[in-house]
Amino acid sequence: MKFLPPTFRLMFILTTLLALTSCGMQSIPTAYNEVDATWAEVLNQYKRRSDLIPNLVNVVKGYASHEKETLESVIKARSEATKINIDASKLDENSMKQFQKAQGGLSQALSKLMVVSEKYPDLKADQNFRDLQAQLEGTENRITVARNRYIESIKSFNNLVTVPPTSWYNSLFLQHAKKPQFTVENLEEVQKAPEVKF
Amino acid sequence: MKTCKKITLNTFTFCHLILLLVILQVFNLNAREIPKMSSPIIDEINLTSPSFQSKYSSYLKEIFDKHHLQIQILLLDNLGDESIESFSIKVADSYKLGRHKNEVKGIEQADKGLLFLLSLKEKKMRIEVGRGLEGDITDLFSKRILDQMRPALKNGQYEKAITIFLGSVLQKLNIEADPKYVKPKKRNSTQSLLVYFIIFIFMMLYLIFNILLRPSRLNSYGHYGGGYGGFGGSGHSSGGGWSSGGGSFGGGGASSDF
Repeated sequence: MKFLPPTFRLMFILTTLLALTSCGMQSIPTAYNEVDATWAEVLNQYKRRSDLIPNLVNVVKGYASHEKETLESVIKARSEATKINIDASKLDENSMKQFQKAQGGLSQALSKLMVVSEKYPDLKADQNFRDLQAQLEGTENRITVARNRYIESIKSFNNLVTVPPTSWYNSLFLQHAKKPQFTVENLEEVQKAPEVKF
Repeated sequence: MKTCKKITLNTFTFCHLILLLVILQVFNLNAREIPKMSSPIIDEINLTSPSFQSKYSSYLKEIFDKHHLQIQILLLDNLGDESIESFSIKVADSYKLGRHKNEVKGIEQADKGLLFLLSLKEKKMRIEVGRGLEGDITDLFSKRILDQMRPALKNGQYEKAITIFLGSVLQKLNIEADPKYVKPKKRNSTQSLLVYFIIFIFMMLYLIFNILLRPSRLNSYGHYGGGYGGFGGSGHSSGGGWSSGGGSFGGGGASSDF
């Protein structure tokens, strides 16, 4: 060590320290893959939901055929939602917004359908309909769980990418950008108090 | 200059820390804490008798050792401010019911965890299904089990409801239930006839083949039962405590009122 000039010595110590401490060499790619996996799970569960919808629409049609408008809006929202499938590596603020808007539209159309179905006692008693309802409930819960896991994985990835010392490694070698986080869909509509008509 | 900057930075982070602690504290007040994973049946309010608890706890431990199926029953007084779905996934994630896939042979033995959660005050119940069981115990099937349990729960027969739950789960997973604990269900008679008929045909086929191919193939039948040594070879201490196995959950299952 003595033959090295002091500045080099300092640099040597610094680099070895960086390599020994958690510099992000392993943790950033791990977190990146985790984000990929959790996002795939989110897509998977949304796909599961859209697969259920044709059956549901058919059953409701059998009992409530004159609720045409609601049924059509569900079908339309579904086709729009299935169009958007984003790869985790291409996720950014914009595509995330699009995705959430489409899926949020489908959620709204579905909840309208469920409200409408309350008016038909025969439909509510139908075993097929009850089964589909149970499956839909289950799927909505899976979506919530998958989204929560995605939010967690994004949080830890963004922390690694933005918080030192791992962020230094990222800006030097990997140059990953921050990943977009889930936000509440249609914020204005949620904040508005629901209208009640009698 | 430099020291000045350092001090302001430090006070800044310090303030943030304090703020974070305060926020955490506020969240903690509302969140219900997860009970300690002490036994397969955790009954906080004694809805079931102690003899029932000890009897079925040892049975559930036995099932876990034999079949890698970890069933947890959790009876609570209330859920605090949380919904049953969010609380039950928290419990399932912290208990990690079922074995991790690195611990057992083959992925089909992994993640076989099942949680039944009941909260008396809200009159809510939920079955949370581990990833390894999602194919067998679907959301729909879970809902059906809850429907079967509801009449017993409405009458306050919690022990009966739990045996109904165990019976239908074990039957679905083709695990032969011990009649001491779970009453065997009547089999569908036509179905069992069909099974016997198929077995009969196979036996006949076997006999015919055996007779036809006797001189040349007899020796090759001698090699049965070589490969698998059965359960219990992977080094787990059997019949001991009750702790998390490392399984994972993905939000499958169903919830319902009672």
